[in-house]
Amino acid sequence: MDRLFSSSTRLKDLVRSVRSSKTAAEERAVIAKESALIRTQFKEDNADYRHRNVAKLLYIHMLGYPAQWGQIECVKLLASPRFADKRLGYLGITLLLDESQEVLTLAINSMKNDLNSSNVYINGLALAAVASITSTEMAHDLATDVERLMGSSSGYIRKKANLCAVRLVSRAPSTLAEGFTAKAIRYVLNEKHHGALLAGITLIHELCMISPESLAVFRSHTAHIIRILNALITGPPSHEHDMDGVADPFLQIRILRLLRLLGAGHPQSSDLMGDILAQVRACRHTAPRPSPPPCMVIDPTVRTIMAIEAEPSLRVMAINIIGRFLANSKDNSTRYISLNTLLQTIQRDPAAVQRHRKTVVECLHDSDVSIRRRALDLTFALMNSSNVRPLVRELLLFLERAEPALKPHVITELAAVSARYAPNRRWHLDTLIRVIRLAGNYVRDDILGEIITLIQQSPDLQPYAVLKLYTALRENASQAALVLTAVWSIGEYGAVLVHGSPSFTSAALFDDEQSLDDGAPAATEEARRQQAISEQEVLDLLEEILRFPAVPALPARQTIRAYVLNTLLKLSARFSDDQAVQTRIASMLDTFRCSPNAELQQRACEYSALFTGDASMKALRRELAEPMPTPEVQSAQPRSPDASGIVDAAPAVGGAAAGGATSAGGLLVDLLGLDEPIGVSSTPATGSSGVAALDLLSELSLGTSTAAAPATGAPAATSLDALLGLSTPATAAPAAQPSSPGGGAIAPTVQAGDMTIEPHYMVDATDNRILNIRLMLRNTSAGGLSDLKVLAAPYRSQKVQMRPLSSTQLAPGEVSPLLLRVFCPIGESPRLRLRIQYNDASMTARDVISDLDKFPVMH
Amino acid sequence: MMQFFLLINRQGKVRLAKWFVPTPTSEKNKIAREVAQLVLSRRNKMCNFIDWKDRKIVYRRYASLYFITTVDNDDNELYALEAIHQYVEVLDRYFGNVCELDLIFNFHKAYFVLDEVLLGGELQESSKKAILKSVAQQDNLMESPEHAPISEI
Repeated sequence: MDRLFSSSTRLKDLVRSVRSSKTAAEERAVIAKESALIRTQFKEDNADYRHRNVAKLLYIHMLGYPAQWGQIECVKLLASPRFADKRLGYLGITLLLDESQEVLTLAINSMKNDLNSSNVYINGLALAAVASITSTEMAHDLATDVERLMGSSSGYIRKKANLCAVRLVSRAPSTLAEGFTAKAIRYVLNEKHHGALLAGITLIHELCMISPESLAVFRSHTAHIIRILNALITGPPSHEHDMDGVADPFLQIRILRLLRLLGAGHPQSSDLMGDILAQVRACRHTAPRPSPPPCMVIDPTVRTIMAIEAEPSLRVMAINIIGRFLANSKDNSTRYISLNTLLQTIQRDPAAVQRHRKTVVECLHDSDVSIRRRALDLTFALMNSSNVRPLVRELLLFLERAEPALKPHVITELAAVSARYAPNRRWHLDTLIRVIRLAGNYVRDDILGEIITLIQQSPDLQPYAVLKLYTALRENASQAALVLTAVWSIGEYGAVLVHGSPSFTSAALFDDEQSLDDGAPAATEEARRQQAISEQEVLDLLEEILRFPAVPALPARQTIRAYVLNTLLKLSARFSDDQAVQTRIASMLDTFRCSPNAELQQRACEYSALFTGDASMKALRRELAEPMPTPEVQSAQPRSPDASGIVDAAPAVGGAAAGGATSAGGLLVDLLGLDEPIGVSSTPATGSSGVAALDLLSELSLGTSTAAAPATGAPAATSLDALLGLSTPATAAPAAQPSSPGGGAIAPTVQAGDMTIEPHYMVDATDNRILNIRLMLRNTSAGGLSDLKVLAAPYRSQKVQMRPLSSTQLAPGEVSPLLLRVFCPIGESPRLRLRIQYNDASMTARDVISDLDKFPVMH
Repeated sequence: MMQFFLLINRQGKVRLAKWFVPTPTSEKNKIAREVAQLVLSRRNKMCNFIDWKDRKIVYRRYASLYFITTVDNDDNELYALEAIHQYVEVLDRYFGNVCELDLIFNFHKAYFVLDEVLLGGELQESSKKAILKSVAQQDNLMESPEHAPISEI
């Protein structure tokens, strides 16, 4: 054994002993021993075995054991004149180092020497390493060497230099783009070597992406680039590069991608491309490989056609090709690609994509989650007011079967599209109730608020809604959102549920034949079968829920109980004065006076105190339980219908977007302590007003009748109402939203032309690399602004998603929110550049650039 | 561009991992585990792409080995898939009917071949012949007395 681990252990011996280890512990012992041995030899600076030791170390690293301590040895190997040492040394530094490590500075000198070596393979090793681990500082140091190698006489070196340049310019775009653009024009456009041309086209694409100046320069060479593609397609076949009769598909795809960039938004360049793009033909799917080369080229061609300013006929042809792919292909990869392409092109030609709706909907029920995801995004993107009924029906089916991780996303989007495209309120309500019945445990608070607001805003639907929710609750009380909505509605509209209402006849209620919901007939039947629902029956149901909430999550169970307690108080005023009913309510409240949960206990105690006999208490209960005022009609602000918004629909941004409209319900939820843990003291949203209300109540319970606050009494009434869940959202909203409407913090306000920009931001709850930003654009000029357009560009390593502006007009003093979502690596602070274009009051076009860089570092 | 190139076996053991974007080691290991789990849970007939974070995983299985990479959302998945295939074909010809054991005992060679196929996360050569030629010439160079290692691996 000792001999095995002597200095002459070879890599294959090490591999063997690792492989023959029976247990993980045995393997760890082998590695520990070997590591110690290597470490000793490194300390002795034993050059003889350095090569072998580094090789073994890299193997150890690949198994997941620490090996960072060998970095210096790799750097030493770079300095060796031997190619074998360099080859392994470069492998070592690319595996063990990254740009953040100081050891890298030690390697720069060797790398620079190797870039200047007369041996092309040594040049190649250095170029590959530079591309893998370059830092911004290194990019500057090595740029001239790489530029020189781009003009090398060896095609092998040119291709590596071109790709290395891609990484350098992406590291330091502002300083390096210009120089590399000049080199690319000089060398790449006349390149004959396939590999070097492939790499060169990749470089040009990168340059066009990062620099508008480079894009303009290369646009002037569009005709030349098209000639390259043409020569490739029509030229003599090259056995080496062609695949299944298709001329170098890799190169074709890269050129097509570049053309997409050159032609987008630029009609002159696009005109030149028409002929060559029209050569696309559909391919048959007989080849056994998942991606037969002909199909490989067609998809990028279609995407290019859809991205550039192509003729309508060409676009229709392109979409039809993809549609056929989708319909005819049995291969899931091709279907995925087709769906993806349709999704990316839907904004350009919605009508053409609509024709393939049926196929898309079929893909919703595929067994492959990747396909379902694409189909889901596409279905939302396809939605409009004429197809909302059938598509929502499909999506509800989808929701029922969707995996848990996907449900919140589907629910948010369903709520958004049903608000936006609902043919009528009844349908909208049916849809939302269906959602909470199917997946009530995945519904976010703001959606819950939306449903309650909708019910409140539709007096004609309230009897229907409460009956329907009541029926649904009896069938299934395991969905948190359904339970909460139903319990709340029963409290609010309990009288209608039991006694019926003058305007409430079943004929008036169930006449929406087109209603998508099969719950409606069921509810009708239920209503017929059971002529009237008795007060005791309602209390039976509530008691069961109070005692044994069937919802899995504990916080949700406590919230449900809190809702039920509120509802009981309300019902004591809504239901008849029958002694049996009132006593039962009081005793149900009583059982929670000893609840271990402080919030429930407090509610129970305070509410019970209101049942202490005398008539003034009864009157007080009545007043407290007065129907909630209908919130002002802020028609639920629909979220962006455009594809990008839907594809990227981020739950948190969705929430913020709907924030304005749903704060009503959301607030209600807040006040009722849906936040965990339940407890008034832990719901800072209510703050001091909540405490004030408690004081007030405790006074009340002592019988100080003078404190019976009239419902109109300003602050006291508001807080009292709030505590009882009777709040008027319109008045209570400001209290619950401290400094920033979206929550979170505010960065310094920025002046941009005629407006100020106030950035509110909050780190996303689900991903701490995402910052949700709400920009409040305020028109500070005396005149109205029109044709407002905002473009946002993130800092290089970051990504930004932006929702469309709600309006392109801004009256004097008006404020318009703009929602953005920035994806920013940990350790950086989000940086954005905004370009704001608008016409001012004198209709002069203005174009302002504004930088937002005062956000905190993400951590 | 590709963020990384990963080769794992059916048990999720990493056989090759090349990163094209500087990433801390702990993050590399975490991502590798996460991606391996996603890929290994897929059934045969499913497509070769998985939506993952703000990128897409592209993978392909050859016998007991999975070759995995990721591409940007707006990049071409089939291109990456064919790039994987290109690498596998070159490996196959280089080792002569390659199997997992070849890659375990000669993992460094698998990296050397990969370095001739991809550079900085981009495909660098569409000709398999050219790739094999450059690998062979570098191997030859390592045989010559002035460039051979002092100690055999």
